[in-house]
This record gives sequence, C-alpha cells and structure tokens, in this order.
Amino acid sequence: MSQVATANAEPIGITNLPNQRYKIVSKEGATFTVMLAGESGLGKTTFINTLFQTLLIPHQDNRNRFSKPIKKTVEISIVRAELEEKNFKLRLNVIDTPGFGDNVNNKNAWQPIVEFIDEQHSSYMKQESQPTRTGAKDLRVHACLYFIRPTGHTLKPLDIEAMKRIGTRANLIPVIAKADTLTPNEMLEFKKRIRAIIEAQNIRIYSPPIETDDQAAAEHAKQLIESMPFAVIGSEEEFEVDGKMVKGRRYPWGFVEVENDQHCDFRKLRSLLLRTNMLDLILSTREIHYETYRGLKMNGEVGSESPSKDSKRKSVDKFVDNPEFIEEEKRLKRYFAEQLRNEDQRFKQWKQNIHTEKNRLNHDLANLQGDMKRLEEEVTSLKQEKGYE
Amino acid sequence: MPNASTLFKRQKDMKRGIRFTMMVCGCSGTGKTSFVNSLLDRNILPHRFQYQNLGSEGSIPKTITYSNLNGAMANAADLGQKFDAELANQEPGIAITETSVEIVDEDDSRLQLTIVDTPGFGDNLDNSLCTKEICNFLEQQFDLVLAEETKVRRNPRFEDTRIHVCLYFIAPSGHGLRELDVDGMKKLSKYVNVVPVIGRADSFTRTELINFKRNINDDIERFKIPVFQFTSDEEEDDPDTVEESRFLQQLQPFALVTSDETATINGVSTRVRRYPWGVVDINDTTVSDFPVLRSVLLGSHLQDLKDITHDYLYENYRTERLSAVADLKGDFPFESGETEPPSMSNLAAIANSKSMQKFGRVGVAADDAASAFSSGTVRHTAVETDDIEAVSARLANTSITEEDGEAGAPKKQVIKSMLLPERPNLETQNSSGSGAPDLLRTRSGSAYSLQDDEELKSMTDTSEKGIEDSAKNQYSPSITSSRASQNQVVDTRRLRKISETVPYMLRHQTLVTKQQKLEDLERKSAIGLAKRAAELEKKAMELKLREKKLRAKMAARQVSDAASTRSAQTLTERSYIEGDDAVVD
Repeated sequence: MSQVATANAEPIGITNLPNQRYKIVSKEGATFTVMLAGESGLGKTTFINTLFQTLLIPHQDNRNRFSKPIKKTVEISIVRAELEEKNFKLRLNVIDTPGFGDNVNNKNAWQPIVEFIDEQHSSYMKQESQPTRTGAKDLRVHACLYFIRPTGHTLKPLDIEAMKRIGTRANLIPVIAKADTLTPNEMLEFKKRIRAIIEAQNIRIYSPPIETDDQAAAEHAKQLIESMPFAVIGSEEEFEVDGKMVKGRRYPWGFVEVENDQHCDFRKLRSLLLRTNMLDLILSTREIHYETYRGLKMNGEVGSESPSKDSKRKSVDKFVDNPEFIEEEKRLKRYFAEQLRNEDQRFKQWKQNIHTEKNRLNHDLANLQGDMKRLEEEVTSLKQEKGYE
Repeated sequence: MPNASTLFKRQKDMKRGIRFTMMVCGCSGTGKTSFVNSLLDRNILPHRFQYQNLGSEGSIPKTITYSNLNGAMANAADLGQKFDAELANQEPGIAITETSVEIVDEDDSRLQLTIVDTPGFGDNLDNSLCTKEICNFLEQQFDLVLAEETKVRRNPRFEDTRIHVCLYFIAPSGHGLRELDVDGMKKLSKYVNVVPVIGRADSFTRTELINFKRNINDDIERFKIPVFQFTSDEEEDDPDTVEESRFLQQLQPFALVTSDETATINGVSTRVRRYPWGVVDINDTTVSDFPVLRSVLLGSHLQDLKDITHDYLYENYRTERLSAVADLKGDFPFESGETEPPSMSNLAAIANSKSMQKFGRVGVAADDAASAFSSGTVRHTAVETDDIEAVSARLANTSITEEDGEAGAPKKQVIKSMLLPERPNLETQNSSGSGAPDLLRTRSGSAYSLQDDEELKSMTDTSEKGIEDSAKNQYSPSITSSRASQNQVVDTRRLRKISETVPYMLRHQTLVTKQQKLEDLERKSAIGLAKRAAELEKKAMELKLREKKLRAKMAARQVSDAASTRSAQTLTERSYIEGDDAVVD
C-alpha cells in the first residue's frame, strides 16, 4: 500500500542520492597508485608517460649513469602528481622500481618490491587505528604492472617468482613491453605460453569482473581477459598522420601507432586501468588484498603479550626473515669457521715444528756431550801421559 | 694484399676447407638463433620450443656440457626443446651446445663452420655460474691445444676446437650495459675475441639506436672491456683497408635485425620481418648492420680473427699456464682465485701480518742472541782474535751454503728462533764443559753446522711439500731473492720436464675439476632428495594422524550410537517398570 503511494506521489527525492554522491566524489577526487615492476629497459617510464599523456617521470639522465656503480640495488622511487580532467582531480602516485633484474645475481630482487607493498598495508593499518584518521596517507598499491621482456620464448624464473609474490599482495597486471619487436605470429605464441605459465604456476593476476546485468560491459571485460597479458607500445612523440597528431613510433619501415588495436593492446590496458575498472581496482585492493593482510596480521598478533614487545619483535623479524641477511649470515659463519680451521692448522704445524726442533737439538746436545766426554777422557789420558812423563 | 706465404696457406686451406668456430652468447630472446639462421641463409638451428617444426635442413645441436646451480639434472638445452609451463619456474642452468655446418662457396672453397651456443645464459636467478662455465669451456679448448702442442708425438688429425670469435648479444634495453654484460664480456675476452652486437635492433628508432650505441661504447670504455677492435696501420696498409677498418670500428656495436622468414623484394631473395606496419629487410644496410657483420665474419676478417686467437689470446694463455706449471706451486691461478674471502675485513691478512711481524722480530732477536751467544762463548773460552775471525768466517760460509741449498734459508731461520728457549740449557752445558780447549770448541761448532746442513737436507727431502710451502710463505720477504736465483738454476731442468708433464698435468686438472663438479652435483641432489623424502614422510605422518583421528571419531560415534540406543532401551525398560508399578499399584 504505502509503496504504491510513494510511487504515485511527487518524488520525495531519494533517487537523488547517487547524484549527491557523485558531487561529493567529484569534489573529493580520487587517489590512485600504480606500481611499475620489471627489468630496466622495457619502457616502463615511457609507458606511464604515454598513459597519462604528460611527462610524469623524467627519463634517467645518461650522464648520471656513470656516477653509479654497475652493481645496483632495487630502488623504490615514488612520483606524485595531480591530474585534472574536466574538473575532476586524480591524485596519482606512480611507484617505479629501477634496478630490478639488472644484476648478475637477482636472487631476492623482488624483496624490496614485496616489502614496499606490505609496508603500505601496515602503515595504513596503523593510521586507521589512530584516534584521528582523517588525514591518513594512503599509498596502497592499487595496480602493479609487471613488464615482461619480449623474448618470444617464455618467462624467466625471475619473472615467475616475482609475479607469484606480487600477485598475492596486489592487483597484478602482466604487460608485454615493446610489443613492436614481435611479429603477430610470434606475439600470439608468446601470449599463449605466458598464459599457460600463469595457469600452471598459480600466479594470481587481476581479472576484471564480468557483470551479468550489462551485456556490453560483460563483453568488454571478456575481451580484456582474453587479451591478457597486454602487449603495449609506449611513445612520447607525436606524429602527424592524415592531418591528425598521433602518438607512435616512426621506423624507417613503417609507423607504429600506439592507439591502434591492430598494433598493440595499449587502448585495452588504458581502458582497464582508467576508464572502466579503476574503481574496481581500488575496491579490490581494499577488500581483498588489504583485508587478507589485515587478517593475517591480526591473527598473528593475538598470541603476543604486549604490543610494544610485539612491535619490537616484528622489527627484529624483518631482519631475521630476510633471506638476504640469512644468506649473508651463513656465508660469514662459513668463512669464520674456515679461517678458524686454517689458523688451527697453522698453529699445529708450528707446534710440530718446535717439537721436532727440540728433539733434534737434544740429540745434538747428547752428541756434543758424548764428544766432550771423549775429549775430556783424551785430555786426562794425555795429561796422565804428560804427568807420567 | 696477401703476400706469397699467406697465399700459399690460403690455397692449402682451400683444399682442406677452412675451419672456423663461432660462439653466440647472450640472454635468451635476443635473436641468437635467428642470427645464425640468417647468417647461413638456411634454417639450421631450431628455435626454442619449436623443435618439432624443424625443417629438413635443421639439426638439433649437440650438447657438450651443462651444469646447474640447484643440483637438478636438467639440461638447459633439453629444457628448450619443448615448452612445459609446470617447469617454467625452474632455473635452467647453462648448457653449451655445438652445431657443425659446411658452407661451400661458388668458387668451391669450403668453410667448416662450428657454431657454439649457450642456452640458458642470463635466464637464471643467479647468473654468476654462466660466465664461469663458459670460461671453463674456453679454457678447456686452450688446454687441449696446449696438451697437443707439448706432446712428443702429435696427432696429425687433431681438431682445433678453439673459439675464434664470440658474438655477445646485448639485450635491446636502450639504456646501456648491465652488470651481467660487463662481467661476461670482460671475462670472456680473456679467451676469445668478443664482438658486441645489439640483438633485435628493430625495436629502436633511428635516434634511439644512435643513443644506445653511444651508451654502449661509453660503457665499454668506462669499464675497460677489451672487445675486438678493427685496427689497421695507417702507414703500411693501403687507404682502402684503413678506411674500411675505420668504418667498421665506428659502426660497432653492430645492430642486428635477423629473421627466419624469407621473401623476395625487388626480385632479390632476402629475409624479412613482417609487421602490420611495414616490412623490415634484414639486408638493408640503412636499418641493419647484419650484412656488414656477415661479410666481416665470413669474409674479410675471418683469418684475422683466427690469427688473433692463436697469436695473441692463446699465446698469453699458454705463457700464463706454463709459468704456473713451471712454478710447481701446486695451486693454479683459477684455483687460488676461487678462495677469496667475503667482503669483511681481511682477518687472515691481519693475522698473517701480525704473526709475521712477531715472528720476524723473534727471528731477529734469535739472531742477535745467537751472535751474542757465539761471541759470549768465544769470550768465555778466550781464544785469539784470529780464531774468532775464522769462526765467524766459517759461520758465514755455512749460512751462504745454506742459502744456496734448496729451501735452506727458511729452515735456518726457524732453527734460530727455535734455539732461543733452549739457550740456558746449552749454556749450562757449556759451563759444565768449561775446561774444553778452544780448538775443539770451534771444531765442534763446525761439526754442528755440518750436521745441521745434512739434517736440513734430509728434512726438506722427507718433509711434505706443504710444510715447505707454508714455511716459504711465512718467510717470503727474506726468501724471494734466494728463490729467484734458485729458479734460474732449476728453470732449464724444469722446462725440459714441462713437455712431459704438462699434458698429464692438464688432464689431471680437468679430471679434478670434473670430479669436484660431479661431487657437488651429487651432494646437492642428495640434499634435494633428502628434503623431498622428509616432506613425504611428513605427509605420511599427517595422513596417518588424520586416519587415526577419523578412526577415533568413528569409534566415538559408534559408542555414542550404542549408548543412545542403550539409553533408549533403559528408558523404555524403565517405563515398562513404571508401567508395571502402575499395574501393581
């Protein structure tokens, strides 16, 4: 009865709630954090600059390269930017990981990346439990783009290990970089292999939800899922083609357009990141990855006695659990033991030498004494002879 | 212009066919296989994971050696044959494979080309093994030639397997060289001509390529990587060669675009890469340095590369190797290189220097004491000055002879320092024998030194070489000079022996390293097996526990079932009884 009444009467305005929400949201703006992972020289910087159509991250200066040693550690560099499109503000954080996979020994190269993601979760959790939490800083990674080298063969163990670890902590989106070096056939084969590996190795990658109520959206999401991993091309330059300025790469043998679906999946990836699934990325980070981290942490802390002790233990744990430190410790221990053994051996040697020397000298002495006795006897006999004479 | 002798050589070579061995090295996916196929203009090598669609011309490379860090017996070359997503996370290790091809030119000259590939290079998490393994391989080839050279009777059919050129494929990152590249090229260039090339150069636009080349050249200069240089003598060579080598030098590193796909462009058969946005002709010198490199490798510089390998690289290696063997130190350069301590403060060095100082001081003190002792005893016995001089002269003599004798000097010093604690004892002896005449005393002294010498000799003969070495090392500063003089004396004798010993020595070493490698592998795999066994056992335990629990649960349920039925029975009984009571009532 009452329902019908409200329907018939002049609308009281509850339907405006989404509009109110829209106003609030558009005034607030949004925060979005993207992480870029992958070996150097795969066009990570170029890609992000292409994606947002500005020079967000400056390229590494080639002259500065010489001041750094060749052996690098994985760094984490954060670039913050505020983008505005039609009065909507987007606070963008781009996290770059230069140095990943650059060394001869890349064991645990993913550690800094994984640690960074965990740290953001934990710092957000701490901020949440503060009395005032309005100005909480949120750097939780909403999407992690993992760049794959376009070898045309397979994924490296390094890629697999890193992707496995990132996939459980953030929304992982695999990306084949520099897609303009693989012919369509090679690309097809390469994608097939990567998908097989992702399946077989249980790597968790982000897949956009398929909404059953919206046919077009579902179709689009399906398309996106099918084209994973995205093959992308990045370019900061624009060229004029048919009177329009188009981003692309101009080779002597042709012109590759970034925003051409025949050439690469750039548009699909952009749609996934910005146009259709940004909210889902943000929400799933909060609902899945953050919650799992929180759950794990809370469960871990139930058994501890006091929070201060626990935090101390945590910081110690960080060092105890770090495989790099463990390896270092092992190596040092081994080295120490070896040195000890060597020194011991040397001392033993000395001891033995001293012993043999002593024996020899004693032997000498005995000989000498014998000689002397003989001589003395001779002398006495001579004296006797003399005295006798 | 080749002179008569080289012409003659070339003719001879033509009849027999020239042998040329080339190595391709670099991360997977930088276009090594395509390059080889393009170079020969035949699809000889199968691509990774595409062994099944190997053409009729193709051949599966022969694996020479492979090794793996984690003890798995997987062969990197085998891993590449078919794609297995389950195993993709395993480190492939590194293998070295070989393919031989014969190329017949139009003028009937033959080229016996051997291509050595290194699958797995750069694919591991820890790639330090890769360069080590390749260096070992290169060293082995040198050793084989060295052993053959020093043999008394040489094998006329001996095949020279030395690598003449190594093409190092740099991944097209656009930044510069990575640590692996620098490390690898530096180490390899000790044994082989390293020619850096950029694989997949079609990922660069023209300006990017120029920048990348400049970065690489800067890096090569900065890290002092001795890569192959195209040099010429401006005064002796004709202007054409000078111009050519200058052109080649400024073209380095060569940017390669290679392909397996053939096509006909403008009536000329060539290889192309076909993209949706255009077709790249690999023989187009404006986009690819491939044709230049091809003519360098198989034409203009083939003999050059061979000569440098033999005259310079091999010669250096030979000198180093032989001098190492001649020293008969027991430890060889590569062995001693392995035991470098971790980056901590060098404890050993400090300990050594300290003990050395102390020991040195003790030695000096002993010397002083000894001289004081001798003079003291001399004074004690009150001989004439002539006699003292005679004694000292004799003493000096003995010391000289000792130093001339093999390894005599160090022992002498040891003895002197050893003498110190026993001195009071000696003196009492002396004082006890105070009545002894001076002449006899000197005689006994000389006797002592003589005996000393004899015993020393016997000691050095019988004592282990290790002891001798340690003694030498400990007292090296005083010994080096005497050692040098020794070496000169002994060198000729030793050098004569080298020709007999070197082949065996080398073989022995390779055997030892092989054995070590095998032992290592065995140990690692044993550990792996033990781990797996432990895991399985654990699982079994868990399963058993679960079974037990389930059984217990079952039993409990049965019991409870029984109990419930029984209670029901009792209830009914009781009701019966009650009923009875009621009836009774």
